[in-house]
Amino acid sequence: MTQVSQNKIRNFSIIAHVDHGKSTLADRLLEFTGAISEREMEEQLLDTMDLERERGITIKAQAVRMDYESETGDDYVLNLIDTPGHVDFSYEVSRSLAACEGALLVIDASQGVEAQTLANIYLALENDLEIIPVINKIDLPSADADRVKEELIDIGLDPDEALLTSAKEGIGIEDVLEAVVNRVPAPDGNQDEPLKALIFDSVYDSYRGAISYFRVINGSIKPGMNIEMMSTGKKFEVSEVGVFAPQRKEVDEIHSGEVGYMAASIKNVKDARVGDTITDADNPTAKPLPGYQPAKPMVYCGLYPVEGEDYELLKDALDKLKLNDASLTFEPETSEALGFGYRCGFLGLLHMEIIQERLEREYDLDLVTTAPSVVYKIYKTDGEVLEIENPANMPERHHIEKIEEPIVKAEIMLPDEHVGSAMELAEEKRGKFKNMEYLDEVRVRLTYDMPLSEIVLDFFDNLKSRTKGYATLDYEFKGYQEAELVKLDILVNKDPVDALSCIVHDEFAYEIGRELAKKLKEYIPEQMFEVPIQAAIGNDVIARETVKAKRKDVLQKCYGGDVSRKKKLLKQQKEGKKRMKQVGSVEIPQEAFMAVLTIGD
Amino acid sequence: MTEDYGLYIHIPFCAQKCHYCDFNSIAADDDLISRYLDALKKEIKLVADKYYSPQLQTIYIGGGTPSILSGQDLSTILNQCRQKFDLNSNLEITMEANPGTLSEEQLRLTKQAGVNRLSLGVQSFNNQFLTKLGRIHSKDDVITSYRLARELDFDNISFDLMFALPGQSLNQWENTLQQAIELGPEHISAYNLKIEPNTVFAQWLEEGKIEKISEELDLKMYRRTIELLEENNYYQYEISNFSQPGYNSRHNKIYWQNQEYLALGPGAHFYDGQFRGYNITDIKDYCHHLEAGQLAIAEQNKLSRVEKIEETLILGLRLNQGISLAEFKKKFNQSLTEIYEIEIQKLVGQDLINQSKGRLFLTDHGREIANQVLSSFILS
Repeated sequence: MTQVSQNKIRNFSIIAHVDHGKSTLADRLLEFTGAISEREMEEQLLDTMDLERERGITIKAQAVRMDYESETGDDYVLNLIDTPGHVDFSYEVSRSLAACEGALLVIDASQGVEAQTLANIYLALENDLEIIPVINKIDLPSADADRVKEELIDIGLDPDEALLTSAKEGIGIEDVLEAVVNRVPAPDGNQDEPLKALIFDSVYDSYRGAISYFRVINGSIKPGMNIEMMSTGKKFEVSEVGVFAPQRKEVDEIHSGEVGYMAASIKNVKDARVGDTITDADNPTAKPLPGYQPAKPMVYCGLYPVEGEDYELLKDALDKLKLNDASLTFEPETSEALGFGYRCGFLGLLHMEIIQERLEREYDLDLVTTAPSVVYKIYKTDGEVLEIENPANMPERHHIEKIEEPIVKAEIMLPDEHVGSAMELAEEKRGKFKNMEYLDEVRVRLTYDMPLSEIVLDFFDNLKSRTKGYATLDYEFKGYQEAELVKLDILVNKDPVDALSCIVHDEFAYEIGRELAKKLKEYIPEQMFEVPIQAAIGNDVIARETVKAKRKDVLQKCYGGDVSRKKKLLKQQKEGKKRMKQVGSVEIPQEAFMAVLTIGD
Repeated sequence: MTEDYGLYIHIPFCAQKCHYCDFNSIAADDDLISRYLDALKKEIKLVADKYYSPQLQTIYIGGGTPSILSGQDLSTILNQCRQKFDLNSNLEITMEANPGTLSEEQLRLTKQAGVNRLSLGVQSFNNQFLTKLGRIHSKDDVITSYRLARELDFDNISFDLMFALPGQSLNQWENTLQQAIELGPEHISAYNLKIEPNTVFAQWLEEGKIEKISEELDLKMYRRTIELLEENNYYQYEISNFSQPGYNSRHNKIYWQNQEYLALGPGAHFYDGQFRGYNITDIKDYCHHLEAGQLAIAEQNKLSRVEKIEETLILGLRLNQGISLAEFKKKFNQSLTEIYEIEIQKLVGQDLINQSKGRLFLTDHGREIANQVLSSFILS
């Protein structure tokens, strides 16, 4: 591939709220520029993980290169860096945006500007990007482009610059490409300066080690070159560079302004950290790029292998996921009930679910996940302050002076007809009402201060179901606040199970304890003996349920020599047990450890 | 291990399908019966050839309803077997019979052909339940058939009885047991009703027309069965089987001791020491294969050592006498207690199995929740 003049390169992202058509638009751009033929096109090509396609969301940033001949007859190289749309992943968005000069802001013509759209615009503005508003889905009967344009004015964008598209119908695609060429600035790096490139993503390849995705700011990079990772000072020899077309395609060299990937036999995933600056080891640049602030985990849970011997596999898998997900944190932890595992930190509930699912699918691990928890600040009577992210580690009551919990500012946007039920829910969940404003005739923004712990316990799903799916939720960390919290312990067969402990508000402790015991009774199958389940605060048992003993379970019929049929039944029974964790003498299914999430269903 | 085989012959015809039955059977039809009999004759030859005219220690004619065939046809089948297989001198030949379809001629002819054990599908002595089950016989048919068989010198008769029927009380079940005991068969199989998918019962259950009885009552009935039969000289030797001393079913013991048995007829299962498999279930398809001179095996799997071990355990532990540790070691060159050290330790601790006098066996409690115990011995 010959070198492209830097002024013919455009690096851009697409930012959008979930469901506003980002991936479909990306697909159309790829199709239009011939980066991929219609035949090869799988729906939502950029969402490469099975999980992403199933859930219809983008989790990982993805990059793709397109060749485009503009109306003026000039050949351009357009690098599209796709970004996730969910609130949990704004960190990923900021990473991608740092590698671009412009962004397409996709807004659903019938939904209008939503909370997440705003958050992403701020991120784009922070990165000094040229924003091109794209009003999408104009083919829908409910589309109202004029209303959306008015909203654009409200958020400080020029409505006349907005493009009208229907990615689904292929309307306005060329306009988008022209706007990218004409409005997104060309990169302004210097080809002659020493190499300076920003890693915006990394993936792990079991054959070639860590593969870094980067944007070259200055200089160029090619195979054979000695490079240095500036944060660690580690040096590697580049074995391959290439572009995304959209599959990885090897090229001779990547120049300033361009986007590409690199393999350099980087064995340790930690040596290709996202946000790091790559430079020429023999001719280094003076100063690294600012990099990223690693996102701070908000939600924690314990992950334990069902089979104790999978502990090492879990560690390896977490290491690999961490490579391209810097926001994931994990530390070894031991539970009396569950054995050896990890306490992992996530950006939010969705992030947690996705990591868990990836571990199970991509690494074939059977896991027990404990209920999510937030970080509590415990002020002890002796003056010591503890940060507790695992309820099991909470000191005894009489050693505690006070407990503080994280509070978030939660913004709920929804049509006004659902305001009542949303407010009811927010109040049930200890939300403190702050504000309510009409964004237009029908759309309302509710602002609450809420304990994060309530949000992580299924608040969003509840909100969705109470508002017929219309509400969106966005939240940001606000600070810590004192609260009357107690640790609720669960005893199974008279033994406390540390992994089932949770921290709850004193006022609701009794109710939650009762509900939790009831749920656990549903989850825990009949055992060979009667199993009492108790909820307790300190030494006070506040609720009790009993799992009945299995009295008769025997296949009596002979089935005339059909042994395979008998065996199949026994195998199923054995498989069922495999998915359970033996705690003391009781077998507890994986789901039971998340039971607290299903309270109130 | 013995060189002798058991032989199972499946007669896939019934006058009417019972409401709980999901075995392979269809309504009788003369043309199809004669086609089936021709195919069976070919199969007898093919199977005998395959195993070099093996010696048989038992033959079990099951169904369906074997007694739906004429005495002549049943005799012919046995005579064909006699020609092709090497029959042990004290061969046990069992025939399942439905009390509603037995005739004197049939009993006489089959007795002459060598049938020396009769298994009557009695199920209940309560006409109301017999109707509910979809049986075509009445309580009186049972008594008549039983007396007839005794008159014709059948000296080894077994009853199949069923409990835990929807709506059945403990007293009603005891009545059935009592009436069976009064007649005095040598052997009784008693098993609880299991509602299988795709049966009339399964449909009724879904429609709410019947209700499963409670696990608690099922257990009471089971315990009472063991108690009452033992009081009357019937000893439990397997989870669902009881007999007077000396009258265990030799054929069924072949299954439980994981010994070899061959199969004839559609859907019949076999285990020849290496392969476990079964015949094509569809009767016409089965006939078609044999008419073309081929065996009608639907599927067979060569068992691994691990599978053989598992199966030895899950079958052998069904017997009250359990498994001989010495025989196991002889067969597998490894001790059972070594392979299952952890499981055995745990299950002994829970009083579900016991080890004594060189045998491993279920405790009374273990027998009641045998599935839980046996599944622990699945290795794969």
